[in-house]
Amino acid sequence: MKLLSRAEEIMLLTILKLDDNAYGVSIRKQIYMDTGDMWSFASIYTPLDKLTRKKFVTKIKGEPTAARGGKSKYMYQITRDGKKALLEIQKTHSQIWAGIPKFALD
Amino acid sequence: MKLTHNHPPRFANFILKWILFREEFNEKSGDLEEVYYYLCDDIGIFKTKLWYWWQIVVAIPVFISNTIYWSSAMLKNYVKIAFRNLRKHKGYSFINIAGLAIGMACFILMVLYVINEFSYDKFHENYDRICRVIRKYEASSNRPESLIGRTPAPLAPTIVKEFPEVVNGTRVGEVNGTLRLNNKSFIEKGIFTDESFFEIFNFDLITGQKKTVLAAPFSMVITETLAKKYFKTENPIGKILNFSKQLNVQRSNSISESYDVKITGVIRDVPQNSHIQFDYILSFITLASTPGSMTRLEEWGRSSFYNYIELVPGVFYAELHERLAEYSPRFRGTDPGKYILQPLSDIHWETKLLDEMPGNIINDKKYLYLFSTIAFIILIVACINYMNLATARFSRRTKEIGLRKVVGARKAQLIKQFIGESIFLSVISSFLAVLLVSLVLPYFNAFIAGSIQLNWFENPISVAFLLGMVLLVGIVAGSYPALFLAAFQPVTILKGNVEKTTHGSGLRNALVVLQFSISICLITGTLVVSDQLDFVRTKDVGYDREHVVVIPLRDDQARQNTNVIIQELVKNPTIEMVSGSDYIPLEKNNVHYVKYINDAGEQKGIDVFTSSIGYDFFEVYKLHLVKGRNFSRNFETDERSAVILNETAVQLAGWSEPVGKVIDDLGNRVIGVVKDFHQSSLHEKIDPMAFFLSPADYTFLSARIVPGDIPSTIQILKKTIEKYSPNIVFEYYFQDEYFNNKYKADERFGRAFGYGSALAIFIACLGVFGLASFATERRKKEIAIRKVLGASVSNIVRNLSKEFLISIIVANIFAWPVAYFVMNKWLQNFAYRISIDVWPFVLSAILALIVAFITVGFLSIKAASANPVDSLQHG
Repeated sequence: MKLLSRAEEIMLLTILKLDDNAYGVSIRKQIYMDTGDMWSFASIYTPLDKLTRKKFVTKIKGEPTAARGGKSKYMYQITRDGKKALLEIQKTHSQIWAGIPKFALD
Repeated sequence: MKLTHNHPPRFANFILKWILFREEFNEKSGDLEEVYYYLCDDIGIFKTKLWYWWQIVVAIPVFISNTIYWSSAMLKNYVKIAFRNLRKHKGYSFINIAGLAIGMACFILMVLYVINEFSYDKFHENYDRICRVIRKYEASSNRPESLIGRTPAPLAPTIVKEFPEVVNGTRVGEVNGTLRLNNKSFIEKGIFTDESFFEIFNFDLITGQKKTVLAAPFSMVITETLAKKYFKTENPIGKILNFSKQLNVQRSNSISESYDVKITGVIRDVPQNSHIQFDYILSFITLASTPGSMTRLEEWGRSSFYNYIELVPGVFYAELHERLAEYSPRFRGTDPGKYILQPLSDIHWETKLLDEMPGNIINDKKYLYLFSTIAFIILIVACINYMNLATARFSRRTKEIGLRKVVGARKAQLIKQFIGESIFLSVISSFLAVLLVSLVLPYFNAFIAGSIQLNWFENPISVAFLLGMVLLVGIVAGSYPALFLAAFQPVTILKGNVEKTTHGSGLRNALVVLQFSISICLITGTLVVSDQLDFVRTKDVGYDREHVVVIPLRDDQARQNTNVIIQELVKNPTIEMVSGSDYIPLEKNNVHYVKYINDAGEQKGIDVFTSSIGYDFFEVYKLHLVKGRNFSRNFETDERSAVILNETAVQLAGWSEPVGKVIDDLGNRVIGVVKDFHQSSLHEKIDPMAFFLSPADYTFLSARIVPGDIPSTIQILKKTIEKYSPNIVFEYYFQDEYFNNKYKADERFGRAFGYGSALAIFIACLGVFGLASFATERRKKEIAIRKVLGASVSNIVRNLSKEFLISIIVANIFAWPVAYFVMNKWLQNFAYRISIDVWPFVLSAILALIVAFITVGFLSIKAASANPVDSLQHG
């Protein structure tokens, strides 16, 4: 199975963290808080769409809110496949990083 | 807090809505807006707006890559479906591909041909600054406007001297000579020219210096082929060949000389698309050194050369024309001819020069347009075919279309899919077309007397052109079916309302009518052309050209002994009569402007074509004299001062009693009038001719032989001539063959028409086949029910064919006037022509009907014989 890309991995973890409140703006804010980088919307939506296509994430249309002038927003939730993909990449990560001492990276 | 008069940039949102987010705009833009308002409070409106724009800019590359990804995702499906369809309907697909391939192949050949024609003489670097100086005689009461190509030798150098706009000039004289090396001798075509020749024209010198090769007299430059022929692999430079020549002469005194020449250079073979054709070049200055040469280099009186000049860049023809015209009297004295310029680019096309270079195969632009049109028509017919078949076939895929629409395919996507399929087919056809062209090319080259090379991938332009054609054909041919189908409503389709598929049949029928009209036009054209060619071949030309052998004598010895040869030849029972002439028998040689006094006593002048002939010449060709007498040995003065005119000349001169009248200043007296005959092709009117007597030393012998054992008669001729001239290379031709050769261009035209119509009708047939099979498919159930109710096979066949019959009849109505008009125009080319009959039209209509009938008939019989149970049960 193809491994998740870095951005996809970060995105999935963020959605996991945000539980039920994952949508464009909140994901972006969370990533900023975790990594210190403000991603552009394009670099948010692209991995999101890819993940949706791969069925790691489901896209749900939320309720129209007055705050948005009557428009709804997409909420994202991780799926079982998504969780499986995360487990896999974690396993791969630890296997690859296993046995590399700190001083090798100096 | 949201400020009501502050919102994200409208244009940015526009881009978001229509290009980037599309369906998801509402939701995604909401995200962006949230942040926007937040940021406005944070960093201010202006900065926020910038940020907003930045977000969009960044999104664009992502968008592009996404679209590509998505499009290619569907691509796999489209390709799969395309292949599946191809295989499911192998027959139809093959018809489509074949039709398109033939159309494309024709088109490609045509383009190659046109390019080749337009490339004539363009390989010279200064191509657009070179022109030929020719003489023009304005139309007057005595003569129509005439253009004469040959001009005096000193013309070019004088023009260069006198006109600052002219930077260089050269003269070219053609010659047919015998080249002899040891005991090998052949007759070769060549030219005399001076050093400037290589400066003006780009003929590649392989060995030798441009400036020096033609500097010395008796120098010769030969082509590669000639070098190989005579010297094989040795270096020819410095070697000596013996050259004996005969220039075009006027009357009596056959001029021939023979001398040794040294090879000073070798050039690459003259390409086929050059109007000057030759195998060797002799230095011009040789002519000054040869004894007895009639062409004195300073003489203005004789016009035996073609003069070419090169202009300074930027000079306009018009100006030079004017000034040249002014200077003409100085060059030509009282001769009313003016010197005018003929640009190099014009020389290959129809120029109506009375004495064009024989190597220059004139091509009428009209033929070019015609051939191109025919090829274009064939391509269009093939495309129409495709459109019809595709539309008919696609109707079977309505369920697929309906389904696609239901699961969310947009109209644009469907159109893309179908156009993609047709481009795919187009690509396959193009491969086939390229293959076809490669196969047919040798025959095509022979047909057009050219040598087109196929360099598919050398030239980026040709690759682009091929690609462009494939794409264009695919898109154009596929557009109609694609649009037609994408317009289907899924509901109607899935409900099973297949009747809706008759939608568009009106246009389809119209297209079939168009195809057949074109085919009928072409067939009619072919018939008329072949009629005219027949007429031309069999019309009485006024002389008997059958069983006459013409022998050119290029050897001195032979020419000196002609009288003895003739005497000996006629002793043979198989040879009836022999005579001689100084030029190709019955061909017009030189044109002379002669002055005379007409019946009213006024001094007038006309152009006549002159010919020098021997005794008995008219007998050999069975030409009759209507007035006066023939040349006769009994009258000594005949040799110097007798002339025989043809009827046209007499008519032009306006004499009622021509015998005894004097023409020109040399005191030549008319002794007889010969009946008019067609000395040139039936394209032209008969020209006025004047015949002079040449008593001996003929250059051509004409022998009338007894039909029967021709080869042995030829042997007698050969032996006799070789007896008196052992070095001669014996050659001969038959006068009737020579005559037929004049119609080569017309024959080609006729054949082109023939091939074109065969192809067009083949493709139209394919079209009818496809449509008919679709129609019978569609009406399977109807046919089955009819059968069950008692209709016979013939009833059903008639029923099915009715539709097409009407189409063909309508096609005729369109085709006939067009064909008539076009044929009329073509026939104007001939001064002597047939009148267009009814029968070609009727015949072609019948042919079209038969062909259509067979196609439809075959299919309808098949459908009518089907078991009704099957059709009704399985639907």
